[in-house]
Amino acid sequence: MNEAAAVIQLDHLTKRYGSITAIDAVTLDVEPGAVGLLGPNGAGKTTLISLLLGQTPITSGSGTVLGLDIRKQRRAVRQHTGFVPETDCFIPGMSGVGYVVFAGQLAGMGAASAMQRAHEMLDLVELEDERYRPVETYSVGMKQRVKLAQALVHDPDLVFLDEPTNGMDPRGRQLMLDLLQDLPRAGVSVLLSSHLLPDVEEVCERVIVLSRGRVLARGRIEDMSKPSETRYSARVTGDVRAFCEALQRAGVTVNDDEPGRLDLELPAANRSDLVFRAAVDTDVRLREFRPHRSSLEQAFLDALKAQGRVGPTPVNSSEGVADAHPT
Amino acid sequence: MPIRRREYRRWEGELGDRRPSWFAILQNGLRLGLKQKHATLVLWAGIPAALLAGLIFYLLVVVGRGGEGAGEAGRYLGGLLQILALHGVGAPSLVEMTVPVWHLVFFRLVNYQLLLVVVVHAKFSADLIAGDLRTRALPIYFSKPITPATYLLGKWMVAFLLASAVILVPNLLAYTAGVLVSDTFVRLRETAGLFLRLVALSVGIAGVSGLVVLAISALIRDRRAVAVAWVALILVASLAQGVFDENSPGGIATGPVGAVSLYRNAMRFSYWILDLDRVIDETGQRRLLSGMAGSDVYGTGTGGALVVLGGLTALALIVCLKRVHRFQVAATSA
Repeated sequence: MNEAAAVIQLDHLTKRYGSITAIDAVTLDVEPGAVGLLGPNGAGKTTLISLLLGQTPITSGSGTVLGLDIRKQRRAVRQHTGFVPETDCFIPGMSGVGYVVFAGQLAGMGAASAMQRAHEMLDLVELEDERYRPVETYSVGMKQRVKLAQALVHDPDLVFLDEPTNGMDPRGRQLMLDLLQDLPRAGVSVLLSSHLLPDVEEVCERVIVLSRGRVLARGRIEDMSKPSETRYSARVTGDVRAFCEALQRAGVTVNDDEPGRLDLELPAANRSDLVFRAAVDTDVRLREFRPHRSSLEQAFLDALKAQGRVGPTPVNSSEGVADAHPT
Repeated sequence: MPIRRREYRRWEGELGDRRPSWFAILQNGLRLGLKQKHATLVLWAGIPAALLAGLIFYLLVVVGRGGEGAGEAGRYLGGLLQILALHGVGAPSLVEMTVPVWHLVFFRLVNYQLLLVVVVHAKFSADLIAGDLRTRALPIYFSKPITPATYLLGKWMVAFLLASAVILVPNLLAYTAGVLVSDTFVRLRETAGLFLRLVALSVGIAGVSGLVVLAISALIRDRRAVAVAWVALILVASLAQGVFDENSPGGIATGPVGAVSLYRNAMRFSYWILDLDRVIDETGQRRLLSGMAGSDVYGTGTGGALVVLGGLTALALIVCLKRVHRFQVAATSA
């Protein structure tokens, strides 16, 4: 990749807390656009964001955010980035508009500019009718949206989001995801840390899988969930049992847990002929036969499995949105 | 379906406001403080005493001029001075000692203003950092280009200005009133030193007390607990000292309890800054005036008071910086 285009560049970035290594020599280039940061609890996602914002001292290594040194130019980094924290974090007694204006002023905006921009941002996140209400009276979804507004008020080039859809209702969540999809189109890069893989799949083009402070996998979601060369799913009519036996004799692993559908694992790539031959031999009709498409969740689990870490807690459907445990 | 599709638009302006970022914290802190119930009442509580002082200074001028109303003015003056526990200063012979009387009046004013500072900090300043901790607002601050020192400066300025409203502003008001009601600008020249001392005293008390209450606020999340701790820190030792004084008159006023009593040490500091010993000596009326000024209590142990107050200031500063630095590190995951 073109290094100049990277919004984040890390070179053996390490953070230790005593004997615990939270970030372990991470070397990484992150391209502009929307990038998902995945990992189980304790993977180091929050620590990584904290290091990138210059809030936590680095043990060793180096890094840049938007070309700015995260050790030496911490203030400049924060001036050009936005952060949506996971927790509520409001200031008691402040209205929505007051809160966003204040955030703009802290970022270095003049009072008049901050006020104008705060109203724009509150319109963007659809809080225009609630802007004068104290933030502490907002619903969970409204609080998440006002946090996004405060992160965007000074027009950053990169936004870090830590579990931004936690606890949101389906409509609010969709609104948030729509807004996040909109940002890269306007030239604002997004680093989305989330347990909700569907959210990451919807917003991001690329993901970084982090575990125990190390990057386990990274790349385009499309590539990570590409069609398998050995796994296929099939639907047949006829003597299914005979068909399965014929496949097993040919070395194909058959999983028929799902009624009416067979999950096939071929002994080698490009050996789909084995399936067609078995179908002819047992006189069954092959109604559907297509390569199995790995999901992001599968890629995530595979990456963790490769490291020997089992039992991650990704949430693979929006049903679990409110219950997802943050890192 | 939404009627219109809202799209994110870039901002054309430039960051880098001329005002420092702590100013935004100050502005916001004052705005939220003044929104509190009875805020105006508390912040104006120093004004009546300032007006009383102004009236005393006026009556001193009237008595000094002599003539028809001087006798009646003298009686009023004696009464008003009694309110400030300055018994006997209204005697005609003391009218000649206008400048020392000014010093004494301001010393008594500060005595009263210290209580107001305690109230103001308990009401307004207790929640300055504790509130941010309780509502986990720190990620908002520390994701923006501000440092722990900037954050602390903004918060301290809020506490300082609110305390100044009940100590610096009334003192300046009383001083200005006193000068304006005087016959000549001679008074201005005579009291220029007092003016500077008053400003230094007010700024010192507002600044140190603000820092101490911030340190407590950085240690405790609950607003009421901070307020109680603050009031206890300032007044408990002083009240205990009062009890000891009752039981052992003249015994342990400067003993261990008196030495750690912040209120008494603040008064000793005031006595020292206002240079009361020198002023009293210059009148040749030490016997009369030293009793009014409480010279036996406040005129002694100045060094100890400075050590206690200086140590407390340093400790408060260290606590604030260490805690706020720790909060910054923990801000992302607060």
